[in-house]
Amino acid sequence: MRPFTYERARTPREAAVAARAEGAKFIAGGTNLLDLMKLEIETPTHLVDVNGLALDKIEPTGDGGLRIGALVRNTDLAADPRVRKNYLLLSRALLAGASGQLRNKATTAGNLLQRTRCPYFYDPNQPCNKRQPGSGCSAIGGYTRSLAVVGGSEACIATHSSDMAVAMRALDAKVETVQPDGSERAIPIADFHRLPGDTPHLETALTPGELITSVVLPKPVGGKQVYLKVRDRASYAFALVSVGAIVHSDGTGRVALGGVAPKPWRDEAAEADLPRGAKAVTGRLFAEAQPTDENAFKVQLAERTLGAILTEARANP
Amino acid sequence: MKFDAPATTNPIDQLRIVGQPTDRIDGPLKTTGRAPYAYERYDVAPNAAYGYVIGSAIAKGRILSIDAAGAKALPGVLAVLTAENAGKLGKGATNAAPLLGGPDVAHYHQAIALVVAESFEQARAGAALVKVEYDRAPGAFDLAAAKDSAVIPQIGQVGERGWRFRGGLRRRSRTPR
Repeated sequence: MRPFTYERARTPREAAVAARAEGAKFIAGGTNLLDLMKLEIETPTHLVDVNGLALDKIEPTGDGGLRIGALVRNTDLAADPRVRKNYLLLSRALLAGASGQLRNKATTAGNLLQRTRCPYFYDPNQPCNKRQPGSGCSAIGGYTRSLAVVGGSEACIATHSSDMAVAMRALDAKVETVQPDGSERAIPIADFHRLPGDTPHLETALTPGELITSVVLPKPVGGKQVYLKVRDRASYAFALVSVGAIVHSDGTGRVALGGVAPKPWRDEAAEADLPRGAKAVTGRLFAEAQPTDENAFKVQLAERTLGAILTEARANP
Repeated sequence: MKFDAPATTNPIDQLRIVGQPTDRIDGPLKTTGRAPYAYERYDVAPNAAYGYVIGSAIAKGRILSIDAAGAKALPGVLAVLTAENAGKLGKGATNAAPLLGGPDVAHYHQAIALVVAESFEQARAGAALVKVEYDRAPGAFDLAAAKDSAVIPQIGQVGERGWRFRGGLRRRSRTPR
């Protein structure tokens, strides 16, 4: 691990100012950042600890939604009675991820900001455009079984690994932030994660120093809410394919996919086809897919996973 | 063996032990964090040193040089072991490659150096400072492309690593028991 300096921020604005400098990073749960620092994949020179900021509450919003503080731990969010009652998809997605110990530490904002688990990102011997911009992508032409089938570029085919973000995307969450100049904004989750293009090291819409203060869920949409995660072992593994779905009794609903793209993969036009069945929806979701021989199975796996959810939803609305 | 008659009651069916809840004797120690790892047995083995393995960054080729000066200068670092200074290295009966590679590299991430230090963190920090120069040789990494050149070994044939092919499952399946 490289040497770094450390400070505890007292206000969100102060944290944003402190993190604006080159080489500075926020730290909250540290469940991803610390691992990457030990491997010297992340080499921040200054850490701004935001754990002391009072951003750990879940509160109702004026229009019937829920404001989740950036520091609310994954365990607490999954167990919140309001989340379990009205946003079951979110609770189920959270509980499908990581392990109990990690969820106890991992935060809502940190979960959105976690880095990819592409094996080449983790191997400093290999070129990686995310780790070292311009060095090349080892995954393309390499071992691609776990990697993206859609949304990737010639510079990067890494996936976004979060389960929580898939649920947030299906629920139309907004990410609230504060900038170093004190101004605030709300970023729709659809615009929060970027596609790699030729700058895969830029992963979100956040600007230098910008701090996530909360994630806001709009008022509940009801429906049957299911998160189905398919992986190589039953727990403590990242998704090969995951499907977050909200299915209403009339057959309409929402679908977001994990494990297949550099960001939670949802297309409102595609999910309009939900009443026509899984194949119609995934056909449109993967219309632009460029799978490799090793990961082409994900397209069919996604269709079958969504199919299983729809069959179950029809049987037990 | 034919399974055409009902099995009679066997000791397992009595459920005296199988099916009964049984406390693990190591359970309380492990769930309360009091079970020591081997390296935590300071009473038996005080002043343990810690090692961090450096894996080869190439899959095939040779190591031209290993510069360990940066690692050795770090506080706490006791030694940097390589094939050059480790003495004569043998190969175990089931090893496909020497446990410490160099100058020849047998496979990707083969161990080529071990940084030894007073703490794990010091060993890892030292490993990050070791500079290795390689002469990379072209390798074959595409199994699908190499499939057509595969040969089916004959029973009794001795392979390039000195292993005798004994037929394994293929022979056993022909033998009625």
